Order: sequence, then C-alpha cells, then structure tokens
Amino acid sequence: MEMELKRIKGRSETVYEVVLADGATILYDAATGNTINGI
Amino acid sequence: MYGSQVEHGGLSARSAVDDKDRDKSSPKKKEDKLAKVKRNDNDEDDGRDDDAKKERYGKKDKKDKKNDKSRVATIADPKVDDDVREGHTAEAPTRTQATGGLSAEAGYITVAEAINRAKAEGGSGDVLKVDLEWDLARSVATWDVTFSAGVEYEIEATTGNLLGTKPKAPAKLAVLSPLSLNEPSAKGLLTFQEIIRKAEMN
Repeated sequence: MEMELKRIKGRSETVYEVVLADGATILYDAATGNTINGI
Repeated sequence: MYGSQVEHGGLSARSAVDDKDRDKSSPKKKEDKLAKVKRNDNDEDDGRDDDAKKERYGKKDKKDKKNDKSRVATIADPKVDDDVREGHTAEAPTRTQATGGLSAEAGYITVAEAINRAKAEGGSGDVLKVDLEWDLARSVATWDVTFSAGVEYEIEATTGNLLGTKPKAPAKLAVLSPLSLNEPSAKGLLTFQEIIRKAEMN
C-alpha cells in the first residue's frame, strides 16, 4: 500500500491518493474523508 | 482488544466443559473418541499432513502476531481510547489486508515531524507531497517528503531516521501545488492513519 498527501494544481482541495495492495486507487478529500471521483 | 482476550479465555473454558460432558457420555462415544485420538496419532506419524499442519500453525502465528500488535498499539498510540469508543479495535480482525504493511495504529512519527526531519537533512522549498509507504525491501514504513527543490527525503516512519534521498522528475512536480500544512485550513485535515482506517473498511 502507498498513500500520498498532495494538492493538484487547479484544484482547491488537498487529497489523499491511496493505492491498495490489489492495485486499486482511491482518492479521499483530506478535509472530509469523502472519496473523490474523476480527478 | 482486551475483550478479545477475555473472549479467547471464555472459548477455552467452554471447550473444557464440552470435553468434560463428552467424557460423561456413553462408552460407545468413549470408544469413538479413542479411535479419533488413534487416527490423529497415525496422522502425526505418517507425515502426510505436514503441509496442512504448517498452514494451521502459520495461521496461529499470524493470529498471535495480530494480538501482539494490538497490545503494542495500546501502549504506543494515545488514540487507541478513541478507537475503542468508536469500535475500531473490535472490527480489526474482519478488516481486509488491503493496506499491505501499513497500520492505522502503529506509532509512526507525525507528518510534521517527518517534514522537520527532512528539512534538518537539507530539504528546502515548499513541501509538495508527503507519502506514507511500506518499503518491501527494508520491511519498514517510510515517510517520503518531496520538496519543490526537486528532492524526495525518505524517512523511516517509526524512528525518524533518514533512509535516503532521490531526485524527482520536474514534470511530476509541475502538476502539484504546495501543501501549506502550516495554514489554519490544514488543521482540520484527516491524518494518514485515519485514512488507512477508511481504506481498510472498504
């Protein structure tokens, strides 16, 4: 597993990008913990 | 966690009672039991089930390690009280292994400490990215702090020791904005370990 805390240019929110052991990637809004789709 | 220990104790006690009840049962059942014991002896002698045994013992070891880990978490992590209230600890055995080595309860140094360690080792510029990874080669969790100057500092997550540095491709950094973790708005951000918990629940 690998997780990154970052801010992508052009977007206001800070996000966690989580790559799970099975290769799936989930993006979370770092402020709310909600998953984000479509970045 | 302690609840689960008590539960194991309870299970053992129930097993003893069951055995006792079985002993009181008919002679036929006693014979069956003896035959069963004999069969088990044979199994041990012929070595056919060695692999199966290994698998069983392996599973037991894993379970024991899990219990040990939980005990360590109780001592090391002050958030564990919150976990107990929220019921996270009770759910631990049913979690997926999706997090591959990283733990929501391990005593990692904080992001701020990791950044300070990286700065103390020469990190300069804005912090663009912080990673928490499981280093397979070293079998340790690491913080990777990437600065706008284009260098990533790899810090051991439990000790804070610097493990190494590496340059990052400018193209990869060009898509990121500074994290600004000292701003008031950053105070409400969830922690890495809170996110691990969420990922484990998926």
